Amino acid sequence: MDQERDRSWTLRPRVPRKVPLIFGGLLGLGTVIFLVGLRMYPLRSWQAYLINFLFWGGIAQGGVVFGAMYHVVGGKWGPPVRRCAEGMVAFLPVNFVLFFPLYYALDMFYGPVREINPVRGAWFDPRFIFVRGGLGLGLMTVLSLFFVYYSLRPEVGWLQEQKLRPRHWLYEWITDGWQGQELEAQRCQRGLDVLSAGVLVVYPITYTFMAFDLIMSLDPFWYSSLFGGYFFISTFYLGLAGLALVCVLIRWQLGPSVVTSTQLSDIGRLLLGFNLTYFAMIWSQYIVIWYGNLPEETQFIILRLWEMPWAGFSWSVFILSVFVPFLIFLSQKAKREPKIVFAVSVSVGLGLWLERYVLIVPSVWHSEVIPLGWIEIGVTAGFLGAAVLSYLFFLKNFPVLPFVSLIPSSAAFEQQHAEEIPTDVRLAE
Amino acid sequence: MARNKVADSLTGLVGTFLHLDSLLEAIEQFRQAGYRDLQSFSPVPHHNIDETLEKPPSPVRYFTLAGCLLGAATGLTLTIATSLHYPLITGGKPIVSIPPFLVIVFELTILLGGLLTLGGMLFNARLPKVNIGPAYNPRFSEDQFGLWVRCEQKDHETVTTLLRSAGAEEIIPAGQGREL
Amino acid sequence: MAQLTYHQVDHDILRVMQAPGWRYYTLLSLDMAVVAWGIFAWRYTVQHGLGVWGLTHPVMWAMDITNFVFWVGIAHSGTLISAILYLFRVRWRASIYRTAEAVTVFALFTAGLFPIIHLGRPWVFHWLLPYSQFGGLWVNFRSPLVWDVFAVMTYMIISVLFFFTGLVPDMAVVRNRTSGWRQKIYAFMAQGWQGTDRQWRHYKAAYVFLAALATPLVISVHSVVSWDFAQSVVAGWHSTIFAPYFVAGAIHSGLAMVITLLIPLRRIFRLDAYITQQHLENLAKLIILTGLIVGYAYAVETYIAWYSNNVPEWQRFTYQVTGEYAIPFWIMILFNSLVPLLFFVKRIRTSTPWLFAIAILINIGMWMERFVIIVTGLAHEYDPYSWGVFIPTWVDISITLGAFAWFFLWFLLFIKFLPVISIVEVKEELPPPTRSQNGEE
Repeated sequence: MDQERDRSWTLRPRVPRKVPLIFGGLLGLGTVIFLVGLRMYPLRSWQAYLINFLFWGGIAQGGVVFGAMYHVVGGKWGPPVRRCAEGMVAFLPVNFVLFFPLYYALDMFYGPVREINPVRGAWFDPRFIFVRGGLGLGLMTVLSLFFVYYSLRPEVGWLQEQKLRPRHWLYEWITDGWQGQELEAQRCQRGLDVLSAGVLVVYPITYTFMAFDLIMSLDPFWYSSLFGGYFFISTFYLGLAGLALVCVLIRWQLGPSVVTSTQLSDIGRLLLGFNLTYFAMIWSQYIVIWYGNLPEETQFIILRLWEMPWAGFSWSVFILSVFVPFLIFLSQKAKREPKIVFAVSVSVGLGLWLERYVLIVPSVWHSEVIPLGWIEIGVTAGFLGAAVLSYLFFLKNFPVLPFVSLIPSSAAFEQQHAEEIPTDVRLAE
Repeated sequence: MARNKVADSLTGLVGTFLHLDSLLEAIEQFRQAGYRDLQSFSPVPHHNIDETLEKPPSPVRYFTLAGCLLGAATGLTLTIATSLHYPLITGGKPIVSIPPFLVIVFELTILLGGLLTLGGMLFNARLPKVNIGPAYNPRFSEDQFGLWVRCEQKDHETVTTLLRSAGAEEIIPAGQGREL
Repeated sequence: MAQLTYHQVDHDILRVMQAPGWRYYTLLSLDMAVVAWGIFAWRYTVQHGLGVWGLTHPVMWAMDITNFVFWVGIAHSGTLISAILYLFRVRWRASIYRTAEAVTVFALFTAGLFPIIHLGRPWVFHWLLPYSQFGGLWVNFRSPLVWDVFAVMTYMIISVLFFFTGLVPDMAVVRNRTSGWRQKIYAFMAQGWQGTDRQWRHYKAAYVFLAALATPLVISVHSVVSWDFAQSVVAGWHSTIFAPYFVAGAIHSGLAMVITLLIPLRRIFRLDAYITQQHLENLAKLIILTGLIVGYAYAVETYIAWYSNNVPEWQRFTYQVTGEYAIPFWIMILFNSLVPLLFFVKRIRTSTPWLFAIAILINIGMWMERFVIIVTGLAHEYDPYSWGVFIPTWVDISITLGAFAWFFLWFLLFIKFLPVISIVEVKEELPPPTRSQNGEE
């Protein structure tokens, strides 16, 4: 048993060398397509950029928020799930940097709005939008990074102490000022307490304003007070779907003892719950707008729900993100089956990408042709590459099983998993 | 029915246990010895008891599903049919306006789902029971566990021995006739 | 709690139901007197018409609907604690959920009075129910008020069902200890329960499904109640955030009411081993969450009022802040979103006097919130010529106090007739008696 315990630090998925190359290639391709698109169809390129920025940043942020939530409620049911969620923080700094190019799109997006409805004044000066968006995003990124830092620090410190890992600049930086296992465990626990609360409090505020500024204001007249809430719930739901996907992949790589069927089932239950919450957010807006029948509110919905071509997108969103996951995840067995969880996560992800598309594009795109083609695919591929590469970087350097958090209860862990601890754990390269 | 005739000729013995693991051991022993007509009593539910008894999951879930579907159907029928029957335009909304009707459908889904769940529980658990069976001891609701083994008169010795070996405090004969 | 035995649990919890002393009877009598006064005030209303209330154009909904929404809201935390926390397998809910569920049921009994009380002609209240009249005319299913009827009725029925289902095993314990006419009643409520494996199995299954049904129900009920307002086009009411805002507010006020009742209960009946400081602290943490959501909603409403460029919307907001109802408005902001933040301080959330005081303030604040939303919305609508002010009369206030007393009356009866803590669930949380344990009875 001791041997197994010592070897769990090496629980990293074995990633074939060609995987980073493929995703690196996608990133490069995406960049090229975006730059070419900028020349030819600037509005389309910027739309695609904004959609993907919100989508991929959303998955990453949603994942980290899950980690914070897990800590706040004192969860114990899924340590590897928590680590997978925390890993998504790797994309957040990248996402933050990717926010800056949007500066050049501001006039394109907001110019027409201000012409039609100039009343809102300096608050909607595009530069001000940009500054507050950047500050909010920066704050969230910093809080998320510190949150994960406090989670990783005791881990990495222990690994360094036991000399189980070679020295590395990243580890040195994380364990800077190391004061010994006991003291650090306490200090980091306090840090986690404060930062998880911080992440959970700042996230709704930041994402509410991102929704109001970057999506809702693109329409000169429409407003909905629940839109901010709807967006941060939607982003969290997206993060959960991304997390489920990653957990299934990790399970396929490392085996069912690392990510158990029960843990998958628990994630599935969370997905079901947030599926319903997401739908409730849509419904709460819809029923109020439908009933009041005020043109400034209904025009937004009618354009997207009942007029082609946007209706096709909207109904696809409902089917992919709401109905299909709901019907499938009603079954207890389905939630334990990795292939099904994988399929449902992909469905939700696809649906929510289309959701962001259908929220943004009809407000700014006014020509007959549907903007869905090589530019959108290319830019999406680029962002996908960047997101996956960041995540792979995290997986390469930090163990999936947060071993240090298990040490106090490792006896219980052992008892629980006595039959399951693998005798043959694939070592990472 | 043949089953009742058989039940009529059976009697039973109830063993009381102070400890959960004694009860589980007893159940295990009886099942290995081939006795299937077992009934346990406990002040609290415990998943181990069900697992050791190897009973199938409760069919109450089908009652719930049936109730929800019935509720949804009732809601839709009620709202749509009555609107079409006496068409009055209110608030400029269509005669058959689905969004508000869905709220009614949702509430009735939950209502009938809940009512049928309760019905399913009562039906499956054979409640309410007017006569509490002979095997019940009030201490089974306080802090003791019980196991009622129904068997022929001739098997009483064997059963008594098995119960004693598992650690029963008292062994009382109980029950002639119908199952509980 | 680890030192308790099953026998001890029975003894401690059933002790609460022993014959009461003079203090209880005094409290009961005072309470019944206030209820009687409330009934008198309502009778006065029926005799003389709704004009004896402060209602006047344009404020045609005021304390009647405030009370209705307030009490439906209070009901929500009970279902949260008993159903939602059950689904999340939160273990500490075991000893407090019975009281919380009782709060739900009695709050619904109280809320259910007001749709009848607020009618001009309460003797035709049955017109609200869905049946066919006048040659095939049914109720208007498109109306949020009819959704209310369905939602609140469903909630009342399901809550009562859930409450009594959960009581069945406990009733068996009480049945075994009583005699005479009391025993017959408890035996009836126990439905012949014996704790067989078959009964437990189906009971547990039913409980899980009832909890799973109650969860979306509780969210939908207060959403439907909020849509009584949001579906209109009254400035300040027509806002998409109302549904989750009201649900969070409902849970907020309900948790505060549960704390208000648990603290004296615990003190008077010496139930500290069951309702521990940890329980109260966990409730306080939940209040932080709901308080933050409510504060978020206040902030977003303000932002959107400005953002929308909607003149009536904005003037209604400024009216709230500076008009005749400014004091209730600021009480609302202070007590609902700022005061609960004190619970971030561990010393405050672990101190019973602070908990009790803050819970009372939250209850006051949440009542004020309903009042402010309803009355300021109606007092200052689109046409300045029809602006008006609502001033409550003694009848309004008497009915409100009578409703509080009515709720409290049910609760006083509850603590003497039913076990205030779930005996079975508390036993479930304890380690089961096994041979390896020592000192077991």
